Amino acid sequence: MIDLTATPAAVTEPDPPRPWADPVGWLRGRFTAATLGALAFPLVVLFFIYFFDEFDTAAFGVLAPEIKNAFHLTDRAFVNLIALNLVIVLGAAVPLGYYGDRLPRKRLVVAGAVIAGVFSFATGLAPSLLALVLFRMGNGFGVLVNGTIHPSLLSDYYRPQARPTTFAMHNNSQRWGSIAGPVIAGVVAWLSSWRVAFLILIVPILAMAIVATRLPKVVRGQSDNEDAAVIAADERPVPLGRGVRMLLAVKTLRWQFAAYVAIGAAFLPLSAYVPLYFQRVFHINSADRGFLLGAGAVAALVGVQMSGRVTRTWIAKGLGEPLKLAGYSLLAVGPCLLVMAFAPNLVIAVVGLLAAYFVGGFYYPPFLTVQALVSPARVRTLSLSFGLLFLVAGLITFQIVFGAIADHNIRNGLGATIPFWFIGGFILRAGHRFVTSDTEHAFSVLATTAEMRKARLEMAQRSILSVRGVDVSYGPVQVLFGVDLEVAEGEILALLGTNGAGKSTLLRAISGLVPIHGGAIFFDGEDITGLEPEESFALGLVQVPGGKGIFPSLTVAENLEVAVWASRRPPDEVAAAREEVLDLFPALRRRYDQPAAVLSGGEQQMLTLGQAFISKPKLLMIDELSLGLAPVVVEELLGVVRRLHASGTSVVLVEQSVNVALTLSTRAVFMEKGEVRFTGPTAELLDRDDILRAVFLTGATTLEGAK
Amino acid sequence: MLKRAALGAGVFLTGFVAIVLVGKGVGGYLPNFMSSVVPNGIFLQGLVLGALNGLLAIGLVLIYRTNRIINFAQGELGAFAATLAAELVQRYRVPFYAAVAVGLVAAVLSSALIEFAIIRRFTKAPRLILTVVTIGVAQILGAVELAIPALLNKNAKMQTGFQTPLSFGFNYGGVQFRGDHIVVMIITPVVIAGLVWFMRRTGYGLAARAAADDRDRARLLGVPVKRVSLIVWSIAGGLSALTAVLSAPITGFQFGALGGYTLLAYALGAAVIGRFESLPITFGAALLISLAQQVLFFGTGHSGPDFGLVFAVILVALLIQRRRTGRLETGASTWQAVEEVRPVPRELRRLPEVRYGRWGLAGLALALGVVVPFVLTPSRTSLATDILIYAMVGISLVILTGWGGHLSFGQWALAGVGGLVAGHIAASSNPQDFFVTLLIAGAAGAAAALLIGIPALRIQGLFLGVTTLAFAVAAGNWIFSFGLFNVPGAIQRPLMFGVWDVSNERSFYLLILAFLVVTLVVARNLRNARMGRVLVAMRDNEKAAQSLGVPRVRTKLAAFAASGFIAAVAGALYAYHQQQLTPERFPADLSVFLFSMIVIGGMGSTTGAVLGAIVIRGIQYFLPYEFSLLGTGFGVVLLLLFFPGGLGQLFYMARDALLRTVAERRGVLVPSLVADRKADTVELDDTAVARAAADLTEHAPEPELVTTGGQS
Repeated sequence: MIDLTATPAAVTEPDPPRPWADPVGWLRGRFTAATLGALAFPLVVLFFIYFFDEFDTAAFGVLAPEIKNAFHLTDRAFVNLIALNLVIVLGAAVPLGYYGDRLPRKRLVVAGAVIAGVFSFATGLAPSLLALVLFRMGNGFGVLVNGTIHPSLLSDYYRPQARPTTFAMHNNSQRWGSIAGPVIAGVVAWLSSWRVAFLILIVPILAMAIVATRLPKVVRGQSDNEDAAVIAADERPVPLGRGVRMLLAVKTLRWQFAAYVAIGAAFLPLSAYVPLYFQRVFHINSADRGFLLGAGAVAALVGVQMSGRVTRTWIAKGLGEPLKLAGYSLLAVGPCLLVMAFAPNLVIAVVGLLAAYFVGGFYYPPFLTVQALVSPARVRTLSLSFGLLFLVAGLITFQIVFGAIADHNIRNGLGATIPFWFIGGFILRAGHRFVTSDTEHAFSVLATTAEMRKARLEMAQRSILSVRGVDVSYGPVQVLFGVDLEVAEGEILALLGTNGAGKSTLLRAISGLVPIHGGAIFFDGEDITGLEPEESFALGLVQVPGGKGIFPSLTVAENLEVAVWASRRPPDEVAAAREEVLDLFPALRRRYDQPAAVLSGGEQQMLTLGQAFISKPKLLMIDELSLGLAPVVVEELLGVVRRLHASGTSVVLVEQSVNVALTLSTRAVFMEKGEVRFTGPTAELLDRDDILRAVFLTGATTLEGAK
Repeated sequence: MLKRAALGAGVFLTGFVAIVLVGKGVGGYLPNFMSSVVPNGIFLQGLVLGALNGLLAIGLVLIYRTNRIINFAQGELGAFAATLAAELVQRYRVPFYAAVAVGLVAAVLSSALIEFAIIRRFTKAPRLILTVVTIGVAQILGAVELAIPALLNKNAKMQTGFQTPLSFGFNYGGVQFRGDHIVVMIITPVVIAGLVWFMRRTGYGLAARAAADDRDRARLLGVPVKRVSLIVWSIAGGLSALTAVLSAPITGFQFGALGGYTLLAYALGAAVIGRFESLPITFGAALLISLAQQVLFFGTGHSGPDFGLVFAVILVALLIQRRRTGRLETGASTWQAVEEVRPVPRELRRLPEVRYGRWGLAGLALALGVVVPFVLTPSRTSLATDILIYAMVGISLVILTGWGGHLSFGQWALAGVGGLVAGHIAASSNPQDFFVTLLIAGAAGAAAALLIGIPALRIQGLFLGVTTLAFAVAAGNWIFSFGLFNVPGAIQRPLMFGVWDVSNERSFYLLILAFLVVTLVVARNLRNARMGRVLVAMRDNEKAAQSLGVPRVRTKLAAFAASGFIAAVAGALYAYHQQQLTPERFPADLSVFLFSMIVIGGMGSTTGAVLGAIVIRGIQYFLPYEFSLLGTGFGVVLLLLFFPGGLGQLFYMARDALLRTVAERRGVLVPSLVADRKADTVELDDTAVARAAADLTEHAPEPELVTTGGQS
C-alpha cells in the first residue's frame, strides 16, 4: 500500500524570513515549503517559464475585443479562431507527449520557451488574419510544452508526497501570470496599442529559456521508485499506439478523459466570452478589464493554494478522494457562472466572476495529482497531452452545437457553458472509485519490472519468460487470478490442469490475444505486457493453438508460406527450414498442393507444428498437442518438439493429459480455477495426491522413472 | 485449378448463350411477356453494365472475406469520388484525368480512414452490428456527397452530368456506344485480373486470405491483420470509386444510399452466386445477371421483371448451394446482436415500489403519447402518427429478427403488401369494413411473409438478410405494380364503430396509438407464452430445441406469419393515414433504414423498437435532409460502438440500476442482478448477502475424481 501521508523527517528551520525584510529569501522559503524540503531550483525555473507564457495567453484573452475589431471578426468567428488554433496545436500535443517520453525533456523545455517567446513577439506584428492565426499557433505550440512536459518533469523531480503542493505551486505561476498578465497587458494596451503588449513579452521569456539550460538531470520515475533508474537505462520507448492503449486501459484515466471533454466545452469558450461580455454589456475598457481579469486570477490563485492543502488532507482519506474534490469544484462553478452571466449590474457580475474563478481553481491540483498517480510512469507525458485532445473535442462539440448563441446574446452564450460544468463535475465525482486500484497497479508494475530486471542481471540462468501477477477477465468474469510463471531458457515446461483451469487463457494472454488487467509479462528481458500478438511473434514468441491451427482454404504450401512471409527471415534459411519440415512430415509433402481442410487431424497438427518450426521461435507455446489424436501420431509430433528443443527453442507444453507432458518435461506448473497450485519438478507433482485428484492421472504413476 | 477454370468458363458460356437465345428467340413470340426481339447491341450493353456491377460485387466479396459482413456502404465508398471529380471538372475546369485521379485518391484515403476509425473499433462485435454500422457509414458518406458542392462553392447544387473527353462512338446492333463503354470493357478485366493476381500471388493477398480464414491464428503467426484489413478496405474503396467514375457517364449518379439499394441488390446477387468467396465466379455472375436484366428490360419494354429476376437468382443460388461448414454464415450466434433483455427478477416483482414503478412508467408513457396530438400542429401530429406506424412495423421486426433470429431487410415491403392490398380494397368501388380490410391486409402480409419464410428454412444469418433485401427491391419495383396492389383512388378514413370520425389528424393519431398499444400487448404476450420461448430457443440453439421436440418448420413459419401479419396491418393503417398510396412509397431503402432504426433502438425488446422509431424518425423529420443523414449515420456508429444493445440497452441498464438500489435498500439478495458485477465493486457487509456467501463457501462440495475410461 502506498502511504502518501508520511512526512519526511522534520527539519529544524530558523524562523522563516518576512516578505518585506528579505523578499528573495521569503520567495525561496515559499518554494522550498512547496517541495517539502527538496531542491527548489527546477520548480522555480519551470514556474517562471510558465508565468511568462501565461502573460501572453491572458493578454490575448483580455484584449479580445480589440483584436476582434482589428481583424473584423464576429464573436463566433473569434472563438472558431481559438478553436482552430487549439485543434492544430493540440493535434501536436500527442506527438509531443510521445516524444516527451523519449527525448530529453530539458531540451524540449528550452525549445518550447524560445518558440513561445518568438511567436509572442510576432503576434504583436501580425499584419493579417492569416498571419495572426499562424503566429498564435506557433506560440500555442511553445506554450503546449508547459502543459505537457512540465508536470512530467515535476513528477520526477519531486516525491509523491510533495506533488500536490508542487503542482499547486507550478499552477500558481499560471495564476500569477494570469493576474499580472491582464493587468499589465490591459494597461499597456490602454496606453498605447494591443500590439505593444505582445511585443514586450519576448524579453522575459528568452531570459527564462537561458536559465532553463541549467536544469539538473532527471530520470523517469526516479521519485516513484529508486530502481526506476535501472529501468529507464534499459528500456525501449513505448510506441505511440501501445502507449495510447496503456492509457486507455486505466479506468480512472478513461473517466478523466471523459471529464476533459466536458471541461473543454465548459471552459475554453469562456476565455473569449468573459472579456467580450464585460466589454459589451458593461462597456469596460481594456485597462479595467485587465484589472478585472487580474482580480479573477487572484481569486483562482487563492483557490488553487487552498486546494493544494485540501488535496493533501483528502488524499489521506483515500486515493480517489481528490477526484471527488475536483468534481465538486466543477459542479460549484455552475451556479457562480449563472450569477455572473445573468447579473443585473456590474457588482453582482464581478462577484460571480470572482466566485467562479475561486471555485474553479480548486479543480487543478487534485485532478493533476490523480492523473499523475494513475498514469504508468513510462507514459505519463503522453497521458497529459493525450488528455488535451479530449479538451479540444469538447470545445469543437460546443462550437458546433452552441457556437452561434453568443453572437446573438452573450449572456446566453455564457449560460450555454453551464450544463457542461455540471456534466464534468458529475463525471469526476463518479470516477473516483478506481483510483486506488489503478494507482496500486501503476506502482506495482513499476516495482515488478524493476525487480525483474535486477533479477535478470543477477541470475545465472536467465528466464526466457516471466509472468507475474497476471489477472485476466472475460467481461465481468475473472478467469485468472494473480498467475506467476517462470520459464527458464532452454527448458520444457509442462502447464497442466483440467478444463477451465485457465491454461489456454494464460497462453492467449501471454501472446497478447486477450487483454491483461493486472500484472506484467517479460519475454527475453523485454516488457511485453500489452503487446499485440503480431509484435510478440516478431520477438520470437510463437503459440501453436489447440485444435484448428491451420487455414482451411489455403493449400498446405500456402499455409507454410504464411509462416514464412510473416517471419521475414532470409530466403535461403527459410527454404532450408521448409525442406526440413517436409522431411520431418512426409505426409505434408504428399499433400503439398491440396487445401489444408482435407488433412486429417494429425496431419493438421503436423502442419501447425511445421509452421512453428519455420518461424524458429525462441519460445514455443503448444496448446493441447495431443487432443483427439492417436498415440502413434502424438509420438511423432513429440519427436518434432524434442528436435525443436534441441535446436535451442524453449517450450511450454499445455496439456490435460499428465502422461504426455511428463514424458517431455522436467518442470511442471499445475493450474486450477485460474490459479497456480503447484510449481516444481514433475516428479514432485506425482507425489501430490491432493492436486492430482481432479486430473486424468491413471497410468502416470506407473511411468518409468516417475516415482 | 485448370479444370475448375474450364468448368467455370463452360458454365458462363452456357448461360450467356441461353440468355441470348431467350432475347432473340423468345422475344416477339410471347407478346404478354416479351414483346420485342432484343437487338445485338443490348447484349453488349448488358455486358458493359455487368462489368460495372461486377466491380461493385467484387468489392463486396473482398470485404466479406476480410470482415465477414455485408458492406452496405460499398456503393457509397467511392460515390463521392465521382461527385468530387465532376465538380472539379465542371466548375473548376480541372483537367479531366487529374480530377478523376484526385477523386480516386480521395476515395481510397477515405476508405482507409473509415476502416481505421470506425470498422476497426468493431473487431470483436457481432457481425450483424458491424453490418448495421456500414449502413450508418453509407448515410454519413451520402451526407458528405451531398455537401461536396456546397463545401467547394457556397450555393452550388449537385451536378447532373459527367462529361468525359472520350467523344468518339460507334453503333452496334442498334445501340449507340460511346468511348465510355469501351473504357469500361477494357479497364474492368484488367482490374479483375490484377485483383486475382494480388490475392493469389502476393504476400498481402495471401495474408488477406489467411486472416479471413482465421484471424486469431493469423495474428499468432505474425500476420499484420490490421494492416491487411486497411489494405483491403482501401482496395474496396478504390474499386467502388472506379465503378462510380466509370458508370457515371453511362448511368448517371445513382449509387448507394442516394440511389436506393437497387444497384447493391444486383451486386449482391452476383456475390451470392460466387459464394462471397470466388472473385472470378462473382464477376462472371455479374455479367450474366446484367445481361439477363437488360434482355428482360428491353424485351418486356418496362422495368420491373428484371428486379424479380435478381430476387429469383439470389433465392435459387442460396437454396442450391451446398453448405460448407465454417465458411458461410449459418448459426444465429454469429450475428446475435444483444444480451437478452432480462425480465424484472422474481424476487423483486412483488415489491410495491417495483409494481408502482412499472405501472407508473407505463402510465406516464401512455399519457405522454396521448398528450402529443393536443400540443402539436396537425401536420406535426401527422408526422407523429407516421412514427407510431413505424414503431408497429418495428415491433414486427423485433419478433422476427430479435426473437426469432431471422434477419429481415424487407419488413417495410411486407408493410407495403398490407398497405397496398388495403388501399386496393378501400379505394375500390366497394370498400369493405375497416376491420375486415385490416384482416385481409394482414392475411396478405402473412402469406407474403410465409413465402419468404420458406427459403428461410435453408438460408440463415446474413444471407437471409440478402434474400429479404432482394425481395424488398423486387417488391418495390415490380411486384407492387401488379393489379392486386393497385390503389385506384383516394382512401377514405372510416367512421369507427359508427360514431368516431377519424378523418382529422388528432383522432386518427389516437386511433393509431390504440393500435400500437394493442400491438405491444400482443407482442408481450407472445413473448411470455410458449411461442416466444420456443422462438428464442430455436434462435439460440436450433439442434437442441429440435431434440427437445420443438417443431422446426412450424415454429419458424409461425414467426414469419406473425411478423408479416403485424407489419401488414401497420401498412394498412399507413394506407388509411396517407389516404393516397403508390408503390413508390415502399422502396427498399426504407426497409434497410427501418432495420437500422430498430437496431439503434434495441433489437431485443419492443421498448427498444418504439424508442428507435421515435428517436430516429424524429431526427429525420425535424432536421433538414443532409443533417438528418449525418445525424442518423453518426448516431448509428457512435451508439453501436458503446451500446450494441441500442437505446434499449441504456433503458434497461437504468432500470437494472434502479432495481439494484431497491434490492439493496430492502436487503433482498437478487443473484441475477449482481451476477454480472465484478466482485470488488459489490459491497459485502453484514447483510444476508454476506451470510449467504459465507454459507456457500463453508459447505463447498468435494472435488470429484475423474478417471479416463477403461482403467481401474
